[in-house]
Amino acid sequence: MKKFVGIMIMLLGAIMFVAGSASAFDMDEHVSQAANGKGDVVIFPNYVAVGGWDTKLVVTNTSFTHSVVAKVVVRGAKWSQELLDFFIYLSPADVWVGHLNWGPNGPRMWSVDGSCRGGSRAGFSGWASESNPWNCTLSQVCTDVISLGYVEVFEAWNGIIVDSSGPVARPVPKPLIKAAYDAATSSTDFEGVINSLTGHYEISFGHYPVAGVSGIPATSMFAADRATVLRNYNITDKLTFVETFFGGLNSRNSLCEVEAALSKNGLQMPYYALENPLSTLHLFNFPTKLTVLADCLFDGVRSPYFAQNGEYGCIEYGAKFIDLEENSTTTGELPSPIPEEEKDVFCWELDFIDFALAKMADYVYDEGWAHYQFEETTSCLSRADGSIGYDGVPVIAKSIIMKPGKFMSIIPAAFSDGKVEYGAVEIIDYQWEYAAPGKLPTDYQD
Amino acid sequence: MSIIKKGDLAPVYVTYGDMITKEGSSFILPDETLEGFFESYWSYRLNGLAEKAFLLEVPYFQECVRFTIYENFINSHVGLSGKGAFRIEINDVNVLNENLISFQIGVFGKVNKSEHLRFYAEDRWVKVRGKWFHILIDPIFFPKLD
Repeated sequence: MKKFVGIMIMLLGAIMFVAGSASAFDMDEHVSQAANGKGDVVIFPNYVAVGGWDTKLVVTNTSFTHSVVAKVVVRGAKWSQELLDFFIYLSPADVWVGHLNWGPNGPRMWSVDGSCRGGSRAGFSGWASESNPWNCTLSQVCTDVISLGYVEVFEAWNGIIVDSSGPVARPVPKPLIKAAYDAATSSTDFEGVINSLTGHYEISFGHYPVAGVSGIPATSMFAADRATVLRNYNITDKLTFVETFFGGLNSRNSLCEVEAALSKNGLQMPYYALENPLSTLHLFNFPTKLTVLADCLFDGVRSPYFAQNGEYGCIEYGAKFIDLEENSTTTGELPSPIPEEEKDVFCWELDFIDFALAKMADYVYDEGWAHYQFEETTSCLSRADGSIGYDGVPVIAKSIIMKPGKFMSIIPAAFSDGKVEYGAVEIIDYQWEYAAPGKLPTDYQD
Repeated sequence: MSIIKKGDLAPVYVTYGDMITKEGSSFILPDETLEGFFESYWSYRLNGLAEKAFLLEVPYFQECVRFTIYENFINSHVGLSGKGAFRIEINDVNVLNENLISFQIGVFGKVNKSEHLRFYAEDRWVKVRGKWFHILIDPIFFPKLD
């Protein structure tokens, strides 16, 4: 099913030929969350680039044969505006590393990794290196929050670089990968994906984290987490420095299909509060919301979910906070509809529930777990204009548990998948790649 | 350059960065009383004197935040100087209005004779009824309180 692209490098030019073809798209091949952690879209659901904090992003090409070109898009926490975009060129088995932190002029992307080049707003030329570090301040777009946000990485192209004697040995020179990508122009050059990308991120606090500083203070905090990975999103046209966003016309999946793949109608996370020496932050990333601004004022959202269920980009949710002995300040389950006293709103693309506040005693305990409930339903269209209905919210949620200066950990939320219907038929496990019972999709296996 | 504290505490020096040099003139704060608050706050904070630093945070912050969390946050800086000294370099100043000022700062720790950059940050101050207060910006420990 997967395409195979060969690149013949002749002198400094590149000739490309294509063998094989992508199979027809159907509901078995829609975008889904990658249970095996490998795919063609990597979402880092939160970055922190405030003074004293550093977020290290790591993207890995797990293929030992294919080179991959991927586009990185950094978006702000409040309005999801594009703050920076650039391409990374990964040879087989290659890794790209970049840091988001507060530099001398504000939030910035910093990298010495030779897989990246300057982007449309990068103000940087050539390949990054130890002697030519890429130090790119993020753009302030309107009133978006840029010291916090999230990052998307899209597989833009893949192929095997060959010369007259066969595949070029690792590490494949990055200029050859770039030349092959630059030469790719026809739609067949972009057919199929190899779902070889994975990623993780590290958040640290308390010291200057990048090269040139020796020693790590004993009081520093550190936590790592795997990125959220989607499979078979499938970019079909060449990506450029024109803004890339979920559901754009250069993919085989609509924004509706991505939202359905991320839909959840319940989230559960632990918390520590009040007299507990630990503190907790619950993070909620809505990567499909994609706010549209006009003259820096709210002018709508791209998201079908937020367009149909939100008001000025905000959505309601129900919350119940329970202690370690089944107590809560209100009785029973969250009924439907959610009562007003247990309802609140999320308005940012990366939003928070903070348990460090002193005045939460009316509804939380020293330690317990939180249940968040979303009741909305959404109707929208697939790329092939098929009718999709789903309930729940397209969200990625994490719990950061910390004792400032001592300890930090990131825990993914437990959740209930939203129900998805295609036409009038309920699709079981839509959020996770379909496979016949007892059989894994072929590229889950070595 | 001014020396804030001596004795048992790691001293904190405040210097002004390239921005001032380029303009060819000495930097003058719009309110000369701010310098004292600024120096005191960073001395308390970098030396782990959480109770004193807390009283210089903006009043609504003092009302909202659990002190134990703040104390742990302050203590996370202790040790960055390796029992040497600190230097805070002010690289830029944005006077939003006469009562609200934002600095771009770099915090350096000095160990023996070698100085290491510890972190860059935005440092914001607000004047409330004649007294300057610090606005702590940390959306992970204290979200949406800036």
